[in-house]
Amino acid sequence: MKRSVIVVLVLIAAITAMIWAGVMSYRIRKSLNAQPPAQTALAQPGAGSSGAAANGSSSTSTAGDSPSADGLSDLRGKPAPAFTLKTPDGKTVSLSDYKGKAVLLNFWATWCGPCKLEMPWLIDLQKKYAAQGFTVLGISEDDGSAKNVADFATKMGVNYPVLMYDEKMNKAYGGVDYLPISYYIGRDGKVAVETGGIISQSEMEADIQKILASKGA
Amino acid sequence: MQKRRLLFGAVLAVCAMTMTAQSAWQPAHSGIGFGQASAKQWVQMVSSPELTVKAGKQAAATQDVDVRFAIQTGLHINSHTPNSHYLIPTTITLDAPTGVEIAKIEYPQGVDYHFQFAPKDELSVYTGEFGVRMHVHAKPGRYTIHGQLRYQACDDRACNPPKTLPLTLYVTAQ
Repeated sequence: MKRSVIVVLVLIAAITAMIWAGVMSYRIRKSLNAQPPAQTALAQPGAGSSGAAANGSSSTSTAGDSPSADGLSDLRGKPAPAFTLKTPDGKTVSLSDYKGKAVLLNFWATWCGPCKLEMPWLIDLQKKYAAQGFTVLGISEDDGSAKNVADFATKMGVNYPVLMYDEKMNKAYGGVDYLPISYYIGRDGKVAVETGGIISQSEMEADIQKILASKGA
Repeated sequence: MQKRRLLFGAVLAVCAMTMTAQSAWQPAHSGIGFGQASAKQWVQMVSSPELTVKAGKQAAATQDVDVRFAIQTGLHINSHTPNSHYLIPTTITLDAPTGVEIAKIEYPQGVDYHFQFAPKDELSVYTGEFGVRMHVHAKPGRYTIHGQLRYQACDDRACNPPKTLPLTLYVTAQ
């Protein structure tokens, strides 16, 4: 009798777990499907996409969360590694130039489809929050010509600085093994959020609001 | 003892289900170990590297040879003719020694693909397995051909850097 009770309990536990797994899977798939069609945004660079569904992505990590975003080294809560890089037209830009500002470091490449889909959102957000002391810095991981990168950025209507990567910086940011990767740096110069893979525009906006609300060092 | 086994089984079942749920929202690259991504390949040659062709007198005879590749589950790579010149096409280059000639390489057509969040942005990609056909001329003999497959892989949310897969083919012409 007792044995049969235990068997029933085991079965109930297993079925409950399966149902829970199914519900979780359904919710996540639904949330991914609810993201705005990026093609619309691509067709209208700079056009607002407010009202876009904001839903969770496993690859977003905020300071205090654990573990870090998928495959990323955990820089959260640490000072963002300093760097000095060149723009495609040869100008020098350092992270320290943006001291006291909220910065979104976005690693991308011209050959990266998800990065291209994010760009119109980044353009929107740059336009919306620049006056509050925010900037996107796009770090191109392209090995090809800087002109190719510049042409691509111009074609996409990019309104924020684009910089050409170097190995030293990649190493400082954990290797940058896939794209896109974004680091959200607060006014205090510390990494508050890191994300790997594309996330929705509204998730990006929420993360930007977090770093804008941070206090300077 | 019996109860313990059953309880242990229940715990295992719950753990397995939890892991199943977790995996539903992780990108396809998770768990692969992106920290070692520089050495990791997302495409492998799955056909035999040993190829036997009929030798031609001079270079008269041409024979078709198929080489097959498998792409890691959950990933896609651009076809040989992607829809944008910014995308990196899948390309094979071979360095044929004297006595053998790769007259032509035929790539399969890509399949239409779009990212989940960009249904109108059609890409031309390969997924699963794909084959490449080579037209080979060879004089009698055994040859080692070195080459490479260049490709760039993505899943639905992220892209890996372009990769080069070294290839070695052994051609016996008789």
